[in-house]
Amino acid sequence: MTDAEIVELYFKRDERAIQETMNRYQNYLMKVAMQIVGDEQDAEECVSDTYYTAWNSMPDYRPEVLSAYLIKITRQKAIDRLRYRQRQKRQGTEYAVSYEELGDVIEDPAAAGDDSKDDLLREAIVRFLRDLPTDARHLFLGRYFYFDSLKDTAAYCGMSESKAKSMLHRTRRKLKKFLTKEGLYE
Amino acid sequence: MNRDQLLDAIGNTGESMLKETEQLRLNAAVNDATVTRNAVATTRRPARRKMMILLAACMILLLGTVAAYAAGWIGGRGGRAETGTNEEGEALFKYYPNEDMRVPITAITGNILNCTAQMKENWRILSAGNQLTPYAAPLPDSSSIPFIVSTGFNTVTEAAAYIGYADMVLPQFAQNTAPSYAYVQAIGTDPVEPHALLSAQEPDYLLCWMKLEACYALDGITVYLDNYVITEANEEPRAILSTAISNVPQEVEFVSDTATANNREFVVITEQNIDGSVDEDVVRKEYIWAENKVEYHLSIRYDVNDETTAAAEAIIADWMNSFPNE
Repeated sequence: MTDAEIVELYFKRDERAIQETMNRYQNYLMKVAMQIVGDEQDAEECVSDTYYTAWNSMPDYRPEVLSAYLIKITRQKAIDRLRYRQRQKRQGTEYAVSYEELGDVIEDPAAAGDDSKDDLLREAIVRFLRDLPTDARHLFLGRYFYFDSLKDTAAYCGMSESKAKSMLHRTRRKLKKFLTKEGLYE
Repeated sequence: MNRDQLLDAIGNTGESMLKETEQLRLNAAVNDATVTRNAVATTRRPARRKMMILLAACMILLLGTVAAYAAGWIGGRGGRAETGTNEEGEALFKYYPNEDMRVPITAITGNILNCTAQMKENWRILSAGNQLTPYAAPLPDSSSIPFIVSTGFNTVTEAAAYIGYADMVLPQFAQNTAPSYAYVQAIGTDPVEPHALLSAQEPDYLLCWMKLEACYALDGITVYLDNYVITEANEEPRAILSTAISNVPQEVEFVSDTATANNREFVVITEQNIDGSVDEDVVRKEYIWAENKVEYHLSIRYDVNDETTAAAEAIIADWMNSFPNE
């Protein structure tokens, strides 16, 4: 069954949509969830919640790319779950490593959040990513959206780990300058 | 702004922007290409054995050189084992059959030969940027790899017939007992690009590696049967490079021993705590034998009490005695 056919099942409120989604994406979503929460039971719950959210969101929303839509939900649920747990749960996961790397952008891990600029920040990130060279964008998304390891990200971007590491470092510095210029970070 | 908000903002990336990166990930070896199998449950945290299989794509590191193949204990049958740790510090063991295990492809007569057509179709689907439907559990997921095909069966007899290798032995208990599951996994190789996950040109896959797996869950006993057959198209002369435990590796280790029965010396791998202690309540062992170019594994986990131990020992004896008398 194709993604389009699965989406149609959601739109018809046919409960086979969930089973078909599971058949196709269970392992895929679990992998990303595991890379964030590092615990199989937590990851399973995040993925189950993803199916529930997908069911409730369609037909109001028609995803352009079903896999990307589902992974965004799973990613956020896994991050939310991790934040809910104690800080030490982050250790030993790719999420923890990525989180530390973003210290190049925001140095203080205890920096206060300013919710009032969330919309501006989201829009700015989209612009920043769009203007990045393709390789740099794939690397950045690989590390900070999918939380893939540096080794895996470098491999599917077709470059050495050392080159990927340098490129990511430069991109983080560039992001910091960009956010400062946009008035979103001081 | 803090890092959490930054990560949330990154999470808002649109689907169309993610699409290209998604494709790279799907086409590459992001998913683990090793075959994993849940080891039998233990009284402590469950351990996962990562079975390092040989793929013609050679994604697995070859640890050390392959041993020289000398004449075996009885006419080239059997083998020997080594135990240790891998680069990640995980407990590991390797089994070296005494002879080159590759059979001519003509020795395989079952419908498994049709798998190569499925592999080609998988290649077409993945090359077009689409996805393969993952297998439902307990068949292992290989949905990002075109040349791995799995098929489920109700009985081991049907699974063995599907392969059609005349010399494969099945123990009596396996033939008489319904398994929790049984499947055959087939792996192919592209002779032009043997190390590519997704060949640039449509491959003419050759069948190189087959595994029959069956699981039996009995009262207090869990048994896995794994029979391996490899063909002349396989790059290495044995089916499995190594077996490792990939969870809490510092706590367990493998110990190698032998057991003699039915005029054969079987390798026995015991999983035990790294401090030398053994769980008093649970036994976890793997018995290995190689004969007529088939590598046979019996993995067994059982609770230690009079009744269960006797039943487990009967299963092990049944398996050992299933190999034909001289």
